[in-house]
Amino acid sequence: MGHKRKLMVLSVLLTFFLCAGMILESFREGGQTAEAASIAWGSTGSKVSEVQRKLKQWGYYDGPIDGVFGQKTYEAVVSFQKKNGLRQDGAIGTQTANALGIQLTANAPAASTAAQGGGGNSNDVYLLAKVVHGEARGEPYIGKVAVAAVILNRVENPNFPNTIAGVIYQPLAFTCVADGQINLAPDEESIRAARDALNGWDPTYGAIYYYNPATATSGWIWSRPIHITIGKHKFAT
Amino acid sequence: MTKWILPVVLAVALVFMGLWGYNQYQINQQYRIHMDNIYQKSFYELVGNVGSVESSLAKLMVSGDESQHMMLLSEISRQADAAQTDLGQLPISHIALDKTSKYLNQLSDYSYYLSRKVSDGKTISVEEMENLQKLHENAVKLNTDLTGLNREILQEGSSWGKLMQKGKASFYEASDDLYTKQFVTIQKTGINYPRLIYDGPFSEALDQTGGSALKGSSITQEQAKDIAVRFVGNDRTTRVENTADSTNGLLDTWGVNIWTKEDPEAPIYVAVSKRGGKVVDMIGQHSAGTAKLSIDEAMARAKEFLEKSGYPDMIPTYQQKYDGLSTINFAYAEGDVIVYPDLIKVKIGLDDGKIFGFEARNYLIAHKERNLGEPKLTMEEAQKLVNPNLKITSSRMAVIPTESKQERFCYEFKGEYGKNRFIVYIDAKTGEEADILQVIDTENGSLTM
Repeated sequence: MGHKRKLMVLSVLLTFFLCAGMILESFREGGQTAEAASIAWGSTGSKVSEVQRKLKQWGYYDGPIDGVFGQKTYEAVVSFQKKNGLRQDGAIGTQTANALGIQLTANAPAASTAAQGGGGNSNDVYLLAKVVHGEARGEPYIGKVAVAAVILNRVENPNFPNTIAGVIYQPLAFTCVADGQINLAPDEESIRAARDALNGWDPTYGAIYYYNPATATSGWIWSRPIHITIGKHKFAT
Repeated sequence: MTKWILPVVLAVALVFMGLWGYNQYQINQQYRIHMDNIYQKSFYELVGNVGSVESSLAKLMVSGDESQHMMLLSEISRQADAAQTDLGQLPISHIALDKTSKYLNQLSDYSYYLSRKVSDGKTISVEEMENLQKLHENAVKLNTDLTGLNREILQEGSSWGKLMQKGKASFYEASDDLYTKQFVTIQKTGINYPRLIYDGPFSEALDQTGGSALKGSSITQEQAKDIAVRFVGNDRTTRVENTADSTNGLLDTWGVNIWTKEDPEAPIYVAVSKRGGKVVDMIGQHSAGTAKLSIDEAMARAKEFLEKSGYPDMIPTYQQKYDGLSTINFAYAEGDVIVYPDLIKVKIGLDDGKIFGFEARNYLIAHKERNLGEPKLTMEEAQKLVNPNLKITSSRMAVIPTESKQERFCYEFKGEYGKNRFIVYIDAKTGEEADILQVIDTENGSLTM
């Protein structure tokens, strides 16, 4: 009798906690809760200036204190994280903020593009790098440049949208966009590859498609003429 | 007492589950509606823009006035471009959409080209009018098909699932006999992207049809290996491997991976042309140490490398510095004239001056003997034609590539206006303003736009 009762109590508690967990989870997703947002590439504001000031004091950063989180700030944060044994993702999350000695406030300013100074093509580089990271992680460097080049070739090609964002976010075009992997922070290699492609390097000579022959499901893509095979991917027009 | 606990708790659990499930369903519905709305908007705008295009093309057929022509052509170009953007946002596989996309895109480029022609004082030729007529017939058909599809969707109620299914079949049908011949070689991107001068992925200089500097006999893969190693540097190389065979009809190459002493993990990829055995591309990366070279020193070393590799007379134009590496853009100099279509890029490490990147496609395709002839204007005469707002800081002669992949012999004037730097090109034979670029200065180097 006692054994059965213990089992019952256990199962009741389990069910209770399961329910409570699910409720809390759903509220978090559905509502607009204020989270401590991290500061990363593209952010602007006084928090960014604070970060830049601290990093300059300690010798990691030698650029202007302009409140714009661009390339130089990113590199400084990575060095800081390296020196302090933190994950080197170039973004100020809770751990990095604590190490820096700053407070991340809730509702940190949303990533806005820098109007003065840090312009050039750094936003295009970052967007391209995100897709490269999502699509070609684990591929050799040249494979990453190739994926970035395919996106740019599509921009120029009349069959596809006319802007980089248009090509990337075209529905059904890239798996990493459909499954959200594009929102991961890109690694150094992806950023370099994106930059090279934006500067004109194209190892695919104008290819507008690529596929992994081991996983490609569309029969149509096999009929396209192939320009080159790099790593796991075939690049075609 | 204990007999009641279990059913009560289970009942409560059931209620919680129900609430949670309902909440999830609500969130789901919100997303669905939101997505639906976006697709609906894109579709409506597409139909609207195609309708406007059709009407503008029709007016063009009956207008005799040149300024009307210009206005209508720019409208058509803009609306066709907007239609194409909307098209790209539909949740329909691009295979069904690509002919329609191509039609709209080329219509936009062609109208843009013609509107520039008219603004230059020339008239639309008979042949061009015939082309426009064909394009108009296409627009009529596309418009009819799209409005039909629109009506169906309105009547049967909307959902993007339906749009996807119906849309796919509709577009296949609607685009079946769209005229997709490419009339002009202009390919505009929707947004202007800053890049190294006349270089970059949307480079106008790239005609992609053969290469005049790529003559000579075909080489084997083994020979390509030797050429690649010599190019990178025998003393740097630790390992070589054949890796790619690219037969693409534009620039066939052999690909070789070369591992160096500096980066034993990451190979440098070198592409050697099958005809003529020239190195076309070298793509490598490098985690540089501390930067020891200044930009000027880096430019000098890169120039030395080019001379050693058989490319004398190249002068550096723009550069970008990142991660301890500098990407430097070089253009060919014929005497005093800087020839921008003949471009070579070099990526050099600022720690020890070793080369990690090279790209000579523009040069290999465009470089040729040029008989530029004498300019019809003097430098002073050309300078007078520049807008007086621009404070000119330097000037020289240049050959620049144009949007239609031609070349123009110009005077290049660099100057400032307010806080911005600009470059103005005045055609040396006709005195027209051939191009105008804005210089974007960033902390990492300069780009032009």
